[in-house]
Amino acid sequence: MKAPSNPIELIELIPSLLSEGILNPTDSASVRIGNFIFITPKDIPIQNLPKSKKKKWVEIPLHTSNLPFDAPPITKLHLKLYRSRHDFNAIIRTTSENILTCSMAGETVLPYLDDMAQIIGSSVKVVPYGENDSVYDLAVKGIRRKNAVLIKDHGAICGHRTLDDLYAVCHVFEKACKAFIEARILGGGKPVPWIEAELIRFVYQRKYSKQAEKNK
Amino acid sequence: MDVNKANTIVRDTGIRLLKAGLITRTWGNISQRIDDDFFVITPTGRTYEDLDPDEIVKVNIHTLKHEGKIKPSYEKGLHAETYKLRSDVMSIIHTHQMKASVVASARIKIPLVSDKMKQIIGGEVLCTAYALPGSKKLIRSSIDCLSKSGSKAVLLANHGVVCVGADMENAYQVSKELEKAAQSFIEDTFKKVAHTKKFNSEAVRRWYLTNFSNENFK
Repeated sequence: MKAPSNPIELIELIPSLLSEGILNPTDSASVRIGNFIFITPKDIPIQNLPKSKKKKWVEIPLHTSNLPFDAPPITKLHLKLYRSRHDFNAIIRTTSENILTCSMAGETVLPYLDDMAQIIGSSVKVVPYGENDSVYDLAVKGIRRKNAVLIKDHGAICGHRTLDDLYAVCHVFEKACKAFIEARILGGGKPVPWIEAELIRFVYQRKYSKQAEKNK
Repeated sequence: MDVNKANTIVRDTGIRLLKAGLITRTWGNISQRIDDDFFVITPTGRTYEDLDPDEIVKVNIHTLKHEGKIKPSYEKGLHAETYKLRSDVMSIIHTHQMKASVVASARIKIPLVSDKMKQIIGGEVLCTAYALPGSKKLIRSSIDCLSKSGSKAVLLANHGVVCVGADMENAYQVSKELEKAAQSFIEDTFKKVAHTKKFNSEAVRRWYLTNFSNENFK
């Protein structure tokens, strides 16, 4: 599993992301390659991006403060996240069904399934929606030591080192949100205890991913 | 059973579960008993579509030692204990399948919801107490639940499910029927608690936001 080297690699994932409802045509996605990020342009639906033309993506230097006209408004948040999280090489804003519901409820999502604790973290907070630096800073703070943060009424931002891992984060978080919601239909449920959740996360990050790499 | 045959059964079942949407990526694990001392199991951290039958790992039921360089699933202890304590079990499937996992996150049992569930799974499906994946506590609790219910499936709290069978086809059908039973249980419960005849994503969202929105969110 390697960090993306070309935004076209993300294009190859898009049909699966769309068919699973992880991405919607208006959602944004980006990759970091060296000192640049490549983000989906604001006026082209994701599924219409050509499979071979890198130049259709908006290319932005990582440390710039001037954004091109075709960059989506959320670009500033992507840039801030890449600057603060050196382990992120790909970011997706997802509005899949249950993630969106949890973002609308405005409640921190706890790990009712232990794969959330492993892959995303022991909780996922909700931060306010907005297009200014102070709100973006809250999102950067909210995702610290985690791989996702909910944006009030606007789904979640997910990030990871590789596209494959990012896909796993989006998939697991949607399932975790579904469990968080539907466990309440069934009368409640309890999250994985915090200490166990942190332990599972630690073990997964240190051991399982290394073993998976070795077994390839 | 011949090891090569067992390896192929395990590998093919992985693909079948993947196509049925009951497993995804590298998650879950599948095993087949060879004899009283050995079983074969899927390796850890491997995607099912890339797996060759000769990469399935042979494990000693009593010592948990494996043959070859590829490491077996971390859940091998759960499989081994189940084979030791249930001589009628020849195949085991452990998945994180969506609907049954939702019930496992609520830490409750799935009651008998249909004749087909009774016929294929054999009874209600109990849920274990919470324990770390792969731990002895989880293994014990899982075996206890299988014994108490007499059924072929158990929910692992906050984790997933284990389905067992007299052969792999049987375990696969249990896994499939369990998902249907879980869906039916969630739907029926929703209709009762939300006082509605409809179960769809819009109805669930409306009910959830009415009852669980954080009014103090700033």
